[in-house]
Amino acid sequence: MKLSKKGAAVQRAIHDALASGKALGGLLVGVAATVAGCGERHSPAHTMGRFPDPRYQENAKNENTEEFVTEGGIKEPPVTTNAVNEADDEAVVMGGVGGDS
Amino acid sequence: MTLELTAKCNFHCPYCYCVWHEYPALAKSELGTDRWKVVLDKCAVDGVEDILFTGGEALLRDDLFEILAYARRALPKAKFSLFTNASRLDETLIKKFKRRKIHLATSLQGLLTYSAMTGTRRSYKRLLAVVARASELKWPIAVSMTITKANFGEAADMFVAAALSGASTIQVGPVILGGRAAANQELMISRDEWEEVKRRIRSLPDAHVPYSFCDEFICSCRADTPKPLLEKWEGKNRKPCPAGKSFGVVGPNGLYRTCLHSLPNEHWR
Repeated sequence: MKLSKKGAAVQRAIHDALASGKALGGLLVGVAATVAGCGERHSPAHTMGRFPDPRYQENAKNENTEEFVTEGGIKEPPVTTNAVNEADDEAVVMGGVGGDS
Repeated sequence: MTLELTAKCNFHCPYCYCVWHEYPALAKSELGTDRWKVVLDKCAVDGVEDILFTGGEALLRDDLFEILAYARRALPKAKFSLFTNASRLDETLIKKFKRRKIHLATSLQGLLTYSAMTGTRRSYKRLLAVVARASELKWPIAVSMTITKANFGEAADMFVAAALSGASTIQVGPVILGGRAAANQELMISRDEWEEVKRRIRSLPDAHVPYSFCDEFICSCRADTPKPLLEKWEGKNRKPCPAGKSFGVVGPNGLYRTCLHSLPNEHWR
């Protein structure tokens, strides 16, 4: 799977942190706020796998800041390691381990 | 409406909720392409507005895009989502789903435990890369994660990894008793452990991703759950499930169920 330089750097940061036994929470520090009003809500068991949950969109319409107001990913993932300097290509192959059960 | 297009799956997750792991007869005699089109016609007549295509692993069906194309013609205004383990998802397919406005959802079963939690020799790395690439392509994937005794220790890391990879939303829940989990109850976490998972996730720096917790350990649609298990796992503040009223499920063989976790009506056997 080819990723952008920044995306590959983020993935490498995740892998490096896991390999060294570090908690990943620290990678979140410095993430720019790109989505307003994100947070938590309850969802029942039957919604597992049903995301994007349309109720998020309902909340968006209601503009209830106590709830979610929009869907969204992280548009500018943080680059918190030197891994970015090692990514000399525009993309990197993130190969999975083959073999189905 | 959830349509379980196939019971076939190339993963072997030990906690999989699919009911045919308990009742294999429900996985036999899968509907062919034409029969699924009949189901979709029925959905159109009944005014279904939201369809989740799932399995098993829906991408294992060779006729998936034929079914999806028919679905779009039959229900032009409906919202479509596809749940996949992402093992076969690649950039070409992501773009294809984006063009067809079919939302994507997947599971992150673990990080270092990914292989054990999927019953495969796969690594979490490809799954995260797929999620990241989908985000870059502006068609981000929703990520669900089921917390077990095995991945309990890395639950917060799973959350962060999904968030950093650009998941559109994250849903976290404990193993639900049923399916393969009925035979692997040692994987179920306690309510105290579940509360600990929530506390850890809530204490993380803001990941700027909408997330939700599912508090159910036993689906209230399951009438066959033995009372001792209900007493052990049932939550105090259990709410009635809207299954059968606001949504339903059609299984691989065409039998209707009210919910992913429930069984067909009493005559199905």
